[in-house]
Amino acid sequence: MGAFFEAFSVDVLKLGFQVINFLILLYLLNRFMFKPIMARLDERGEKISKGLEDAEAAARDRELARAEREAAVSEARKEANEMIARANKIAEDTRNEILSEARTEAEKVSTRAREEIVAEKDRAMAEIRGQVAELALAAAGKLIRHEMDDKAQRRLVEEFLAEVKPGPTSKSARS
Amino acid sequence: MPEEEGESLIHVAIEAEELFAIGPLHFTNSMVGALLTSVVLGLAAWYITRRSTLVPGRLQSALELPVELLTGIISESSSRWRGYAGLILGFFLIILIANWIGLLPGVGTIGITHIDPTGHEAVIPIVRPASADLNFTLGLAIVAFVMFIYWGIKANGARGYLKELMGEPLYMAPLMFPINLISELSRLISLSMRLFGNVFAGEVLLATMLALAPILIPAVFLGLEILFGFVQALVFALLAMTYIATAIAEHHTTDHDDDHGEADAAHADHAPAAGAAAA
Repeated sequence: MGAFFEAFSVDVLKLGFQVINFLILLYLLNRFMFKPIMARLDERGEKISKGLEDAEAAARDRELARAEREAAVSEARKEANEMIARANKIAEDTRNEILSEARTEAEKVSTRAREEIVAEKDRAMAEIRGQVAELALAAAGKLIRHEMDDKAQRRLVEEFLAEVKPGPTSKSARS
Repeated sequence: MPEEEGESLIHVAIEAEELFAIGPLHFTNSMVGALLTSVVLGLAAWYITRRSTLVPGRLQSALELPVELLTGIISESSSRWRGYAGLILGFFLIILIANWIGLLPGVGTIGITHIDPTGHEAVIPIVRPASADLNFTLGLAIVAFVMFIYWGIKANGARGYLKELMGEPLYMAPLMFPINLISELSRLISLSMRLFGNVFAGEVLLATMLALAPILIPAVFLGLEILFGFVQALVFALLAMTYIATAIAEHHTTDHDDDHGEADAAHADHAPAAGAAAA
């Protein structure tokens, strides 16, 4: 054993030097290289996995937002259709109402007009009747040249007219 | 005459050669290599602490890459990998740099001329890769050995560890105990001798090739040595990791479940990996 170590010039001091050198270096490497690098690697791994997770979450959110938007759009479209239908119905109703109102109004107007015409005709008839009496008096006066006092004359004519009245006037009023 | 010249050119001592002595300590050229390794890795660590950002630059990426790759492997080994990840990473990087220092131009070739007692003139290189010295590899193997015994005792208790050495069933202990003891100790030897042998052989190979053909051909072997240096560092680190993971996993489920139930819960996703390591 001793000869073996001597051949390779192994002795405690040289061995100790190498071991101590190794241990110091090992400590320094651990302290200043492996720990920082491993921490860095862990940190980097975490960052990457977090980034991937975030990207996934963002994609999910985007998908959700898209679905929401589509739902909102279709909802709005449905509502708009409803509104249009309702408006159409209201317009139709209003039109019908206006039309029927106009029709009754027109009927009213035409009735009133007819009544007015009738009243006007009656008044005209009465006026004409007066004038005809006067004309007949004048004509009769001139024709017979007969002196009569005004009172007697008027009585005579009115008697005559009263006899005549029921015939033509009642007939014309009925027509 | 030409034979002698060749001999002196291919000269690579099996032991690290002494440059000077400070009292009882013989300062060897492999110690220079070890210190150089410390300086290189110290600068890397300094750079990481000073300039590190979340989004890495090129140099930062290059420094983080081995740590990241090896952490990936280590995290598969057992549920308590965070406890020993630093040690394994340290083994890997320190051995890697110690190996590669031997490939730098001038290392092993620039030295102090020295006339040995027999009258032969020899050159003592100023720098020798630390891992081409058994002191260094044995030192590291002892650290690994202590660490995997420490982890074994920490995980299963001193009695659990001894029980493991006795083996099952108990009446076989007189036979099994020496066998297990030797098997544990052999890890120490295999770890240290494998690394030393490979790197030393690499040095000899490079020196030989350099002596045979000064240009072009050594470059091929330099490329190979880059690969071997990497592989040996990885082998040492991963073997140490496996030893520790096995020490933790032994009797993990039967003896001391309560002790690290919490740790298991925290790393529940790694539990199958630990089981696989135990198998």
